[in-house]
Amino acid sequence: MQVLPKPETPFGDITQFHEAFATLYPRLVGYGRRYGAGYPEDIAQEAFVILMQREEPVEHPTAFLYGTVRTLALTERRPMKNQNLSLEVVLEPGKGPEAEEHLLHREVRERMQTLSPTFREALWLFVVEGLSIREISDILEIPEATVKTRIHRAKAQLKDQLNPSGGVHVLA
Amino acid sequence: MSWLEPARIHESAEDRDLRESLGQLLGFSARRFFDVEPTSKMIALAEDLRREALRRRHTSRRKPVWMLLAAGLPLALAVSALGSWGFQHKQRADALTAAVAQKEVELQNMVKTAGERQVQGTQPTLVSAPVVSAPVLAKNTTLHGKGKARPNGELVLEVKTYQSPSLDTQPVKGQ
Repeated sequence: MQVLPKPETPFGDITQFHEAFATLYPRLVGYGRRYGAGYPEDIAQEAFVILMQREEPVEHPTAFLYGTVRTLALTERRPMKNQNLSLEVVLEPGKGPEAEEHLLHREVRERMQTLSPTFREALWLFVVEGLSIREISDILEIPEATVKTRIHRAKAQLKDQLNPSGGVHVLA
Repeated sequence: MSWLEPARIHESAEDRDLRESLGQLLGFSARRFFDVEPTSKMIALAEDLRREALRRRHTSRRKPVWMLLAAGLPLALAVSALGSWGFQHKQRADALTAAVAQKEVELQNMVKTAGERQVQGTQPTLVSAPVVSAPVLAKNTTLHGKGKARPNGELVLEVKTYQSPSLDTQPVKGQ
């Protein structure tokens, strides 16, 4: 039986890691900021270090990163204070998380705000972050079935908002 | 993208449709999320973090052993000291119990031996006592109720449990 060589990083080789980092880092900073983190760049960097530091392979590295950022942001920690590399330094203008947020229409944000926080969280990760149900269940530490239920309920709430009399129609 | 995970690559068509319909409901234009080209600054930051992770991995290997030893040593000492102290006390208590039991046995034996000697000392006196004829004895015993006379003139003495004179008698003055 042939044993596959262990990859250099959780995302594969170094090039793949760089691609993953370039994609995920701004998104993780934005995700940390959504949780009210004062230093989302530090938190995102710490999440990457924690992931790379692990000797045991992680099944879903992206979910692990999101989950770590969420935990660190919620606990209001400020790791790596001496190695703070601001996102503005490494991102080109117009490509930061703020710019990304602006890409979401105001209408979209308002619709998201009307949802309950529990449903909004799952919906955000699924639609805006583009994560799979399995990854979201890892991040939120809930069963996949619960994630699906929350997303479907969020969808129902959105439909109700768009068509307030739709409920009567459905019942009829 | 090659680094994407199987969870997202092999996502079911149902989940994709659900995401698409939700995007339409939100008015969210579906974009490709994972097509960012890494810049040189981003690569430099990624390498810094990778080196930091490697450094931590190497430094954190020996740390837990020393930390565990340092934290566990006082506890282990306290537990062993308590254990030995308890063991010593238990042994002492066992020895005392055995000594008390031995003393009790010795005392019982002494009392028993003294009683037997006293019984042996009183028996010749009883045997040498004058034999009284049956009618007289019957009369006496009827009066006092302390013996029984048989028709053939046998003397029957009442058996009493012997008690040591040293325990329940008082010395008479002048004797």
